[in-house]
Order: sequence, then structure tokens, then C-alpha cells
Amino acid sequence: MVKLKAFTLFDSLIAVTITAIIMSTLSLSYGYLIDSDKPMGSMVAQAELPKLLNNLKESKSYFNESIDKEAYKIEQIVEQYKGNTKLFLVTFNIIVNSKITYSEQHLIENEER
Amino acid sequence: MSKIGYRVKSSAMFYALFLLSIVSIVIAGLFQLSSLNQQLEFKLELESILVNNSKSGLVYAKAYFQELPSNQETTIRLFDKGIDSVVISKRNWGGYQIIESKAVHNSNSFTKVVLVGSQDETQLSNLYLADQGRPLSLCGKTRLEGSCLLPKSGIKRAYISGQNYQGTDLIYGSKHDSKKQLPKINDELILNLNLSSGQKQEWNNDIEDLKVPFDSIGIHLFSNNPIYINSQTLKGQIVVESADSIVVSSNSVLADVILKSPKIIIEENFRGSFQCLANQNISIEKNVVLEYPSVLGLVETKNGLKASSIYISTNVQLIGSVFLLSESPDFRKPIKLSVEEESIINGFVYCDGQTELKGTINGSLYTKSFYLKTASSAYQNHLLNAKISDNLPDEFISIPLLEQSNRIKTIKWLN
Repeated sequence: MVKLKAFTLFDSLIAVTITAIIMSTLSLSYGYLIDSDKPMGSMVAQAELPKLLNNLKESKSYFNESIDKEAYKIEQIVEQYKGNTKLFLVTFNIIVNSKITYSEQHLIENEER
Repeated sequence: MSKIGYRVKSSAMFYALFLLSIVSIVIAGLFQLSSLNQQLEFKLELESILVNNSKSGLVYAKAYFQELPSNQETTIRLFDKGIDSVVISKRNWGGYQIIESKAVHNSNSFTKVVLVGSQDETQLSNLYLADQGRPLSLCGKTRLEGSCLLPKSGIKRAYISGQNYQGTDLIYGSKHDSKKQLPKINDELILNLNLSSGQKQEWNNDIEDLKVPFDSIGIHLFSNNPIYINSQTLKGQIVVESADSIVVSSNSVLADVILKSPKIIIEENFRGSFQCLANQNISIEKNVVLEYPSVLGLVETKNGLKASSIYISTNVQLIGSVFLLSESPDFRKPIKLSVEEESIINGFVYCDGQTELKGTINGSLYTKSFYLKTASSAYQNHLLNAKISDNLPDEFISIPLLEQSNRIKTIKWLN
């Protein structure tokens, strides 16, 4: 094995510093990875959205609504689309831990006309 | 060498650097994995966004239908933020229209194509008989249901071929006065019927199975000779046109296609859905089933020796629309629609000429006059054993034939 020449103390100090940098980078990366991953609740809520949209179309109840579940909250916002009475813009926001994790928008016909 | 200046050989630095490289590789790997995961997640999310956007694009196109230019692509931003670009277009498909909505993001796209028609907002009458100064006479088991617009001279019982009117009421619904002319038709629709679309190809009898999706370029099969569609399968965006005539045999499979010719004959026992556009004659032989959304359209362009007509034989079922118009009407040779016994048309029928109704129309019939030919005589504005019923669902979608406020609705998804 090739051995690098160095003072033991200096050498050790550098080694400790490098190790400290490595540890902090590792924990930062781990934190970043965990943070970037979508919470499970958000994914469960996402799967609920097509059903909610269908219900909205069928019931013709074009109102804002909020669905609170243990792991997530779905916010349904219904508004007229650019002043056109024939259309509604529906926005679904999925909120997990007070943070909007996912949002999607749809145009639907106003069947009540 | 003194003891102080003595350098101890150590491998600590080496180990630290070694560890650094290992950990760097691990971190790089983790970042790579995370990035891949995010890319995959974005791809899936993008797919879902594009599907949603293309559907929203269709809704937008239906709402702004009149403003949309025909046969031209229009790019819109749906929500003015994020991934929301959609390219929408509309084009004619016989009596109906096709809307195409393509959601795009960089090189990714998703397309939805639908066939649309119109749902009447003002509620069509079940019977509209133009006021030509003659009353309507009912005989036998004739039954009129729903909203009827009739001449001011009214409606009465009559006796033909030994058959009295058997009903208790003359109309099982409401009666209103009609005008001298039928409600005006949508000229744009008639003009667009003759628009040619798709890649022109000579008709070939060897075609066995031809399917053309609606999100690609259509095919227009043409021949100057008569065309006999026999044991062939034609589905999708196909127009079959003959300068002479088209005959469809019962063992052919037709779906969503358009047939164009001066004369069209559908042989008995055929079953399928298509649009028939002719300018002289259409003949539907017995036991034919024309599934929704079929169209029989006759637009008489010039007066021949014989009157142009649509003949529907016995025991025929049709769900869709039927219309007969003349560009040069001749009161001596009016265009004619004949519906024989036990035949039923579910949908909208518009005849700017004479109608001989012996079967049933479930929906709406707009006609200038009725005629009835028996073995012994011919009668004007008489109905014998005919039925007009009001059992069509409110959601029924027909061709946008009348010039009035209509709501554009989806008939079927084409891809």
C-alpha cells in the first residue's frame, strides 16, 4: 500500500475535517432526498381527484369545497372561466402538513345553463 | 535527523481521501437516483397533465365552437400558467363535426378526438307540419305524441281503406300553429357536406380491411364507376365516393365512414353505422339496422326526370338523423321520404318535401307535407297507422341542422 508522507496531527486534523464535511453533506443529501419525495398522503389524495371531478360534473354542485382527511386535505375551487358562463375552471389543491404538494386544473361545462 | 523533526509515516490522509471518494460516489449515486426518481415522477405527472389538458381543450372548443375557425389549428393557453398549451381544431365529418384537442409540452403530446353534434336548447317539436293550407287527417291506429306544430286549418279524423281513426284524442300532447315554411336550416352545414377531406385514392375492390384513425390523415376513396362494398371492413376516417352509385351488402362492416354518391342502396339485413350523403336516391332495404349516429342526407342539386327520394323499407331501425333538402325545389316533383310499416327512426327527421309515414318516428319530424298512396288512391296530408312518439332521451344529440341556438355535445370518442 502506498503511504502518503504527512505529520500525524496535521494529517488527522485534515481527516477529521473531511469526515465532518462528508457527514454534513450526507445528512444534507438525506434531508434533501426526504424533502423532495412526495408524501404518501399526497399520492393517495391525487388518486381521489378523478372521482371528485366526476362527482362534481354529475352533481352539478359548482361550489368550493374542502375535504379533510387524516393524512391530507383537498381544496376544490370552482370559478367562472374568464367570464364565460358556459365554463367553469376547477382547481384542486392537495395540502399535506399545511403545504400545497400538488395542484391540478380542469375546465368543465356549466350544465346548469 | 532529530526526534522532533521525525515524521511518522501514516496512512490517515490516504484513508480520509479514500473515504471521501467512496462517500462522494455514494452521494452522487443518491443524487442520480433522486434525479431519476423525480424525472420519472415528472413524466408520469406530465402524462396526467397532458391528458387533463387535452380534455379541458375539448371542453374549451365546445364552448367557443362558433368562434373556432374550421379546418385550422388554434393554439391556446388554458390556464395562463404552467403546462397548459393546447392545439385545438374543428372539422366537418358529414353532418357532424370533429373536434381535435392536442395538449403539448416540448416534444410530448396527447391528443383526444371527439365526434360532436348539437343538442337542441329550445326543445324541438315532435311534429312540425308546414302550413300549406290543408288540415292534417288521421286514420287507423295513427298516434301523435308530444308537441305538434300544425297548420291553422287543424287536424281531423278521416276514413281510408276501411280504417277509421281509432284514438280517443287527436294529439297526445300539445298543439300549436305552424308557419308556411319549415324552420330555416343551417346553410353552413349543407355547404360543408361537400367539402372533401383526406388523401384521395382510387377505389379498389380488393380492399378487405381498412381502418383509418381520426387523429391521422383521412382517406377519400373515389371512383367514377359504381361501387359495390361487399364483405369489406371500412372503419374510421374514410369517405367512399362514387360518381355513379354505391351499393352496400349485408356482410360488409362499416363504422363511422361517409358514403357519397348520387344513388346509395343498403341491402337487406345490413347492420352498422355510417353517414349516407346522396343527391338523387337513398334506398334502405328491409331489416337494416343503422346504429347511432347514422345519417341519411339527401340534397337534391338539380331536377332530374324523377323526384329525389329516401326510401326506408319495412322493419328498418335507424338511430340518428335523416334530412331531405332541395337546392332547386319543384312543386311538381317534390322530394320524398317514405318510411314503411314496422320501421322506426329514432332521432331527428327534416323533409323539405313530402313524407309518407307508415312506420314510427321517435323524436322529431319536420315536414312540408304528408302524402299517402294506397292501392286505390293518393291522399295529401293523411296519416294511416303512423306513429310519432316522444320517447327520445333529452340528451339525444343530432346533427346541427336547424339555424338556432344549439349546445355542442360529444357523441362519441374517436380515439
